[in-house]
Amino acid sequence: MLKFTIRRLIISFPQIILLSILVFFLGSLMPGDALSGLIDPTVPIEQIERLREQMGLNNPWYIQYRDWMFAMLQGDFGTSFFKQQPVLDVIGDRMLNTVWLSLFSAVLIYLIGIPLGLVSGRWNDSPLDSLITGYTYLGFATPTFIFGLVLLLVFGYTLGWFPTGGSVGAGVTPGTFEYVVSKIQHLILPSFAIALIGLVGTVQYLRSGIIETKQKDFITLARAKGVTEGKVYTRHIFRNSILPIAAFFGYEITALLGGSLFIETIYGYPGMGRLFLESISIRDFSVANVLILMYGMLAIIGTLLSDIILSIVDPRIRIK
Amino acid sequence: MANEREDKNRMNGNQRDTYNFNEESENKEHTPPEKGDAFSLRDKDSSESKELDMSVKADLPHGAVGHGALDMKNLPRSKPGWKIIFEELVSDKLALFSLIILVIITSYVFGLTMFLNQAAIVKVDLFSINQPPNDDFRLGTDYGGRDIFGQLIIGTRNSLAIGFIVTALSVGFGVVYGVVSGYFGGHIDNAMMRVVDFFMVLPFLMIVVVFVTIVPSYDIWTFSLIMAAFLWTGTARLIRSVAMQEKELDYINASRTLGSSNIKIIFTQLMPNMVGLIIVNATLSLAANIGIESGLSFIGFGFPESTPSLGTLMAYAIQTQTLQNRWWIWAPAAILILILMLCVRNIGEAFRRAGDARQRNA
Repeated sequence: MLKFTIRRLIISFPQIILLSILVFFLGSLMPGDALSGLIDPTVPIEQIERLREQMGLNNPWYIQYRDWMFAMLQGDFGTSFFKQQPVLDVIGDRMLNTVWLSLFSAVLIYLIGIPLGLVSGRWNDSPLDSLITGYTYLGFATPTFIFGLVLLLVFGYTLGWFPTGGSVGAGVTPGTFEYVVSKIQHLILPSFAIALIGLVGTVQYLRSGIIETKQKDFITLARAKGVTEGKVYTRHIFRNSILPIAAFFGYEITALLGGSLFIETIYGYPGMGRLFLESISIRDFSVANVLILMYGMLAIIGTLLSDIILSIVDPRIRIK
Repeated sequence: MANEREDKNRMNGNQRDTYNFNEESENKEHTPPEKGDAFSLRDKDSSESKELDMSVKADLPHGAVGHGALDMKNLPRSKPGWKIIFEELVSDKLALFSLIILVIITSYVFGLTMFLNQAAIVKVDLFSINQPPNDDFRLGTDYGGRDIFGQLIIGTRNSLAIGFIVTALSVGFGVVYGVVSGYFGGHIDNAMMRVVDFFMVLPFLMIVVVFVTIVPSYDIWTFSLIMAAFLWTGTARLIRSVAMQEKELDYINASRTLGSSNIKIIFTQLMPNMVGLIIVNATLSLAANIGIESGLSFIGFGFPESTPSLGTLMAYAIQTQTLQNRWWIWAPAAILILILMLCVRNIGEAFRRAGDARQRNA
């Protein structure tokens, strides 16, 4: 177990280094460098050259890369070309918003997805199961952004039940009860849009898992011993079929954090995905670059987490 | 009809193969024994493939080739792959219906765009801004007075075309990568799979957005290349895992023993046997790729407005006014995306069942 975890950790180090090199090169491909926005156009070229030399922008790439890496390890992620603030400050509150949105969506996915999967797996081929399977079938084919738009149109504009943009209402002071309520109200539409499409995979996994486990010998044995039907499902079948879903938790969270690009655009939700698109369109590549690095790191950590959970719940993985 | 003809061709091909095989084995009986001798073959091959399982050949006595050979002409023949897929498609009414709809949409769209003038359609006309559907404009106009119906037709063609191109590129590369990795195994496989692992943790959408912004000459081909560069990993993983099982089968071992080169085995023997899987994978990725393209165009990093696609039509709906009051701009595109995705998926599912004998309907 420990051996597997250590081996898996060792594999992810080269991934992190490769990712940082890739992001570094993407950064050097993008127009603009650390001097952009700092100097006004009247400064003579010789002076700019001297500044560039001082800041190490004329060094060979590996030295620049090394300096860049060391700066980041010390927590210096550079300055936004556009806002002239440290990048971390720009990302700060946006990240919190995205984390809230992802957590809310994850809770909804499991809260709605698991009961649906249980019902359709236990009573498979019943009318209720056909209904749920039909839903997952449609859900697989629907792009999230179309579903999000329809939800926005129906519940945001036509019915007017929920706010249609932003992450909190105007004129609400932080810390009050109204503030929290307003935040949650703004979260409901985007997180349901993500969750109602995102739960499709969970439902299908759980359904096929339950149907498969139902036919195993140990279930017959449990029934023969006189375990009640309800307990057969809650104790024996559910525990065995929930394993893969528990193991994919890491992937799920990463996908949620990274996949918020569309939903945040539609609902005007000020999160990291929207920040990324904004900084690309105002050519603030210093922020965009750090965001790519962060999402990449998140994905590495997510897969690491999933693999470790998987090795805990499924010992067969470890033998490799 | 076309399918039936293909079946016949295929069957003729099979018969020719069998005939050749018999001829070859007859020749072997007349040639000096060392040519077909199992032991001499083993000596020749032992240097290049040490891991080969020798047990079967070692059991053969000298000159055993040709003896006890099967009567190839009268063997019960299994149905050719195309026939299985065709029968499965016909027996699954939903998939057949989807196929018909997809063919109608594709041919309609590609046929009609030959007569439509793209420059005229995307030209701004300030006298007819935001008109609802009427006699002049079958589906109304957008904020630039451009005909939505024309944009929808051209947009569907562009979305389909990019879907096909990206699928061809990514599945093509993924298949070759996966087969090579799975066939050779060992250290090669290990190294190649670490590359795939790395690609899978990259934030794909964001990197595509960055590339789209910084690539200087930007058209349908560069866009497809950028997308395909990140979308081949799923195919590669799937194909690799199946290739690993497939290469253990006897026909591959037999071919290796006969001295076939690795390239010949991979491209003429291993890959043809995985055609079913490749088709299924390609169909399912086609649906995904159409969705990804429309998503990227939707957030403004796919096609520009001057090159309509289903995604650029959807992108108009980001504006509140358009979303609420001008359904004719985005709703047809949304419905068309759904129909296309459902049709392609249905066909893909039927193909998948055809590939798995336990799930077949036919």
